[in-house]
Amino acid sequence: MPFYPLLKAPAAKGWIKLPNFPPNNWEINSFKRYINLSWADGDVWNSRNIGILGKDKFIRFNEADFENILPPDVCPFISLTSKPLMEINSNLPTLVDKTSNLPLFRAAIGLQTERASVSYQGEINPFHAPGSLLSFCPFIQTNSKVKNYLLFVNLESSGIFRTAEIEIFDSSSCELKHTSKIGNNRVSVISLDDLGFSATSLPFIICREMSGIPLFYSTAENGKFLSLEHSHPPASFVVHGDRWGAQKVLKQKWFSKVN
Amino acid sequence: MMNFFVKLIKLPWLFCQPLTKKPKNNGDPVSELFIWRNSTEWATYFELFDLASLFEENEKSRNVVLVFFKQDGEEFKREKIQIEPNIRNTINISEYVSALDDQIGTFCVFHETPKAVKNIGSFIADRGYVSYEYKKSPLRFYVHGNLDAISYSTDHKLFMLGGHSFLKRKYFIQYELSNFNFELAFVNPTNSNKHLVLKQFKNLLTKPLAKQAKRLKPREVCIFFVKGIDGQIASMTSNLVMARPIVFRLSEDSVDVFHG
Repeated sequence: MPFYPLLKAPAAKGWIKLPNFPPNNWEINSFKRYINLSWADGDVWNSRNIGILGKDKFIRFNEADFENILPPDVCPFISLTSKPLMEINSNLPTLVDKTSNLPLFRAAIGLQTERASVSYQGEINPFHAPGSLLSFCPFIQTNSKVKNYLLFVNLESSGIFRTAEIEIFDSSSCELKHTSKIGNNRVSVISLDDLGFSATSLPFIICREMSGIPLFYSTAENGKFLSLEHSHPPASFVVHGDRWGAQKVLKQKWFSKVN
Repeated sequence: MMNFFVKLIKLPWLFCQPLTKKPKNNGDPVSELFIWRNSTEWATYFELFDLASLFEENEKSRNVVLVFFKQDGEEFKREKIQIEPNIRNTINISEYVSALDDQIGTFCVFHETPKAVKNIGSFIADRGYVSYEYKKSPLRFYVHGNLDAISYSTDHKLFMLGGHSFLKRKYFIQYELSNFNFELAFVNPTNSNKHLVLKQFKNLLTKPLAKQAKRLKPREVCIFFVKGIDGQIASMTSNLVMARPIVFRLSEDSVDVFHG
């Protein structure tokens, strides 16, 4: 069973809607599950049981639901399990639960303003640490009315905080356009406006020491219009055969281009 | 022993039923069947960049083939586009289908296959990024491709790659269809007709609130309209290995679009 991160973005609030039924009819049956709230405090992983979700039900969480539980400046991750998690773990709890694999068990992970909301169906499992990231990102909407952000989501087994540097380049010139510090076990927010990208620029982002999910969030007219989508990992540019070998080829090529 | 029985139970669902098949020939490019929408309310765009150049140093332009299908899956048009390496091209898909009366259809994108991909027994695949403009919105709403639905051979033939399930499967959309109106778009990525039945439930133990059915030809796309109800779950029954829709959640001026 995966985790589900609560997102954050400027002038927007994160929300999650969890379903408690599988996406197919043949792998497992649904049953009531414990809802867990987990966060890293820079040292260990903390978890609290915040309820039980009945079979075939939904439950929605907003930022405000955790205000009395979470310390400041931590990122909450929600999960569903058949047994409650221990309150303190030196590493991210392993979620032992029967779950479907085809497709993966997903939740709606979203952002909301006063005027609109947006989401994607997603989940997150811990990344290897240290890891690396390469992603090509044709999402910047250059209409002057639109604000564009990269939301970088990471989850790692260790509860100890660490940081890494994310670098944003133009693919054509390999010119470095921006660097920013990102952190593990949280959502890092980076503005993509005013970096000098045009409508025909193909940005790519790399991180040499951390992997994660790059989400691209755009907003217009004070949050009346919202778009949210994640980019594919490089392995998705090929199918069958040695996909992870293809990802390695891409990472080696593009990392060496900007060394 | 328990593991053996678990595997045995799953066998009828897994044996010889891949989500997608391999293309016939080594090196044939693969694409998602992306959904286009074109009307007074909708316009469609696609982010095209040269995938082959990502793998190999290349200063020359390459050819990309776009194939457009009508709503019923019939091919409408093919276009060969020359693109430069490492440049983003936001293609206005609506312009290519503007002559059609259809307001929805599909399209696919085939790239040249670099040696680096052929050598590892893989196939280059575009499952990239479509965006929709709705009611002249100031921004476009993105959704990525998901399925390796179709391949293109060196003699310019198209092959459907979607897997067929021996048994009827139910796909449950893990999203509460409430508060808004929804349009669920389904594509048939296989090479045979498929019967799709959408059921809407307040509770999976009770009778469905509503039921809609359609028979889709290969590459055909259809939309099921669903009115939002609190706690509503929808399931799709078919012989598709995974009948996962694109969901359009509509509000007055805006839309949220995602894979269901």
